[in-house]
Amino acid sequence: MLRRYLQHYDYTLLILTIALVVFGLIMIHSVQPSVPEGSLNFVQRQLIWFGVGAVAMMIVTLIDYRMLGALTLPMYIGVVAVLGLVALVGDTSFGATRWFEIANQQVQPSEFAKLTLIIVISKYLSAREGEVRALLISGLLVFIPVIMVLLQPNLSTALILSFIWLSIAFMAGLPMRWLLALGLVVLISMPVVWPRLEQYQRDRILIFRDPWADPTGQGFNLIHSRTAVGNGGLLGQGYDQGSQTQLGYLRVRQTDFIFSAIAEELGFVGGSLLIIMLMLFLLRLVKDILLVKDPFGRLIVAGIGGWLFFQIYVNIGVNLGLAPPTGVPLPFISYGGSNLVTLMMSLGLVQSILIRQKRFEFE
Amino acid sequence: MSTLTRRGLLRRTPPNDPRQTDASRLARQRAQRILFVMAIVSAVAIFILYRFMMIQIVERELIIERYQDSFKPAERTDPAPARGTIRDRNGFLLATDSTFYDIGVSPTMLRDPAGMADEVSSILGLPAPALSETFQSDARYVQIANDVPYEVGQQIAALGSNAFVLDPVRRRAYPEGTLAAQLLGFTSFEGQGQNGVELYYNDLLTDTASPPPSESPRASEIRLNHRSFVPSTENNDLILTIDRSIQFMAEQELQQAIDLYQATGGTIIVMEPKSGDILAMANAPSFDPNRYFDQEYEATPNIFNNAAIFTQYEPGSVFKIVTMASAIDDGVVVPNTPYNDVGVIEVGGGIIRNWDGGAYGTRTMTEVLGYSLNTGTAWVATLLGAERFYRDLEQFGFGQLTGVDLGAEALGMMKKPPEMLPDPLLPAWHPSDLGTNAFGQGISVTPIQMISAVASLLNGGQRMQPRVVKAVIEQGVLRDVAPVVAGQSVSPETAATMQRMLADAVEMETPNALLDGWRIGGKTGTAQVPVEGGYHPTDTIASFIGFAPADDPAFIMLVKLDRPLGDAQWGGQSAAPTFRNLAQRILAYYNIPPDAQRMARPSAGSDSQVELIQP
Repeated sequence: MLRRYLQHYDYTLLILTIALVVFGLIMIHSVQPSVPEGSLNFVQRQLIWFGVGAVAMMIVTLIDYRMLGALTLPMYIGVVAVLGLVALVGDTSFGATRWFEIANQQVQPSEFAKLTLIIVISKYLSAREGEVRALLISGLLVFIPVIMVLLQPNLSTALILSFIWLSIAFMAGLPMRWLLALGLVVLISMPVVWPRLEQYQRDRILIFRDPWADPTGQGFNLIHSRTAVGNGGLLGQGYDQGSQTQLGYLRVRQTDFIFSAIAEELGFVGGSLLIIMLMLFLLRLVKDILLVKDPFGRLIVAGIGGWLFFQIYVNIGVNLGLAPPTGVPLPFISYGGSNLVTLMMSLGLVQSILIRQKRFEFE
Repeated sequence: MSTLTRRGLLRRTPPNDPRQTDASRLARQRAQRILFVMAIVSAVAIFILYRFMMIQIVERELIIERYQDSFKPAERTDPAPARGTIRDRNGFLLATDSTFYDIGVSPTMLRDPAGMADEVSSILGLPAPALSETFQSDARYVQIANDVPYEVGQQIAALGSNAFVLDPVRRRAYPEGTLAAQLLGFTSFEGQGQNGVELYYNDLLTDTASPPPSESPRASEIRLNHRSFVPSTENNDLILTIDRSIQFMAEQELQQAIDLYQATGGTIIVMEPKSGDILAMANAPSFDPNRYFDQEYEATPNIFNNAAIFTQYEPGSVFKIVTMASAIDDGVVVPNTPYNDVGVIEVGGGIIRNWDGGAYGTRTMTEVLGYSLNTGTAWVATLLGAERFYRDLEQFGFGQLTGVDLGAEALGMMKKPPEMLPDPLLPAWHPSDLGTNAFGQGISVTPIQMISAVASLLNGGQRMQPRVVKAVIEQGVLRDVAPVVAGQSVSPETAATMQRMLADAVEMETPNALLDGWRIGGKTGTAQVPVEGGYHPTDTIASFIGFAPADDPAFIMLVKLDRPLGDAQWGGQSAAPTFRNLAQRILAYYNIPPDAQRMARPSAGSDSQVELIQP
């Protein structure tokens, strides 16, 4: 049975994942800010998280994902309860109440909310493929946590959750005219919502069009990231040699702006290699949807794909000045423990789904 | 229901069965949609690649140019240019560039913002509530402190949080703190020298352009009197004439005198008469150039001015030296010329009396100086006549800048008869001024003018331009600055005569200045402080100008105390003992043997001031 399982394991996806994480580790090594003597540096910490993530991925792969289907109601209630709790009693000292402290470790519930909601919505829609009413209700199911996340306030996670729903609903047969209608609603609501935003929020969104409007404030990171990218040229300044990167002008160079650092040090050649690797990864994930006969599993893969699609392209878009700065890390590459672990757990889930599919054909 | 049966059902269902149509339609739709999504994934990737290529290859130059043009100057992370060091005559460091930090924080990266706010507030001394608010905001990056000293910055770094960003910035540091503060000046955050040497030599200190002289390779080490040091790599360094130890002693003695005599302030200048080198220039009150921006100095902006070159005061009896030297030089009197003092003399309509109102009878010129007779000095001035008198004062440098390399020098105020074309902005001269000016009243001078005038008498009449820079290290090569002769005040013979007269005169009435073992020369001065419409009833400026050893002066010193109280208001009671204390210490520091031993040596008196033994 195990052999049969392994037969259908997606090794290409695994190899791409490992290659991307190793790429990330190499670049974190180059760009990491110095740490005080005695404490672990960023590469060492990320390596530990990589190990934790690998174990978590294996465990999740071994678990039959269909068992999760029975737990969706408590999962959903749990997510809503935790997000509600954060909104009420969470660590408000950040101005944004995104964190929770468990055993002295800060936990960001909205990270786990993504994966949980993917499972919940997938389960709900899998039994009701093509039902228009079910699509509406699933939208409502997502709408509640989205509002809670918005109240934190955490706009980027709210956008990711919405996009996840859109991906799942699209795969579950959301009619095209609905999609167009939804786009229209968003367009129409823009002039209504826009004046209601705070000035600083509007500034933050618009700054990517012209970072030079506020070079020492909102535009600071954007100018330096764009200059770093430009600085790279065709072949880059060389590993460990990027002047913007190494001089510390890029403030969050190991997380949100790591792509700019890569572009500066490895140039167009290295940067486009990374873009192509990420694109191949996404294509592989989308292609895997075809292999999944079980609607529940299929929608989970679609949800995870949508989530990664959004984060990868938005992060690179911010780095290249195509999207407003959001604070979304680059999957696999950016430094960050809970991010990497959640990501690898999700890919474990994808594998768990894949290896349990073909059985149907021979039953 | 198993898939297999479902498939079986599907196969057998007629085409119009809604489930069949639905399922196959959905499967077809899924396949279409997956293709659609794959197309989108690829299209977005291609679009991103296109933009990426545009930025890195096509727009590259423009972006970098714009960054350099419009962003870098606006950012001003470190606009301060590098400056060379300033050292004393023995190479001790007085001013140097140093690393400070601008500290910023990314609040969202903090793990425990409230606790961190407490820690950081205790390290930086910032109010905790404001810091706490900043740390708990979701701002991306906030600047919390500027110009934090190196070791404080290191404490922040030691907190181990990657939320803090320490930007090193270049700031000027003065390792000796308040030592010679007004002389050194200070340096603004922009790296511009303000006041003193820092301002006067700003261009030289910041200059990096001049190429090193080709014939002399850049020295890796400069040797200066028993000490060696490494010159600045890019900038020129300055070697001052100041001796850090003498400066320290002078400041210490000045402060002690101010405390003891309850004076409001004061100045001491110590100078080498042969070269014009300023060995020490002490002013009190003083300030710390490391903290020139401190609030405590806001109420007293004058504290930054170098009173030794900036303050104008009526010199009083010290000025009699100049009057007497002029008269002797013009052959009007000789040291033994008798003057019959009746306690009063009339000059140009003004009545002049002695300081104690007494009549001293027949006295020589030496005694006129020794007992500081106003009447006798005024009489000498009348013998000279106004034109010759003021012409001679100009020879001594009064009414002109001394040209000391410090800038911000005051001119003093010397009225002149109309036929000598005085500055029209000055008050009109009156014939009675000849009498009062003779003993230093109604004329104002700066301390540096006064000391350089008298110093010329110890240098064969050659008046040296006072200076504070002795040598420049240009691109690693030590280049001595040649002393400049500003003029000839009197003939060498007159100078020698005056040197002897001043040694004789000081012994007559100023016992407080005398040293045990060394003869000195000198003269006290007690000037009333001019106020609106006359003179302040009690306030005085007590001063003493003296030199030692009397026969071959190693230094000349001016002590000036502002508004001492009680008996101390007389120069002989306050400035004279201050001179004695400091002179004693300098002689010991220079290791100059007492006169009796020194004169007995085979090469008596020839090398007394040159040999410097390092403490």
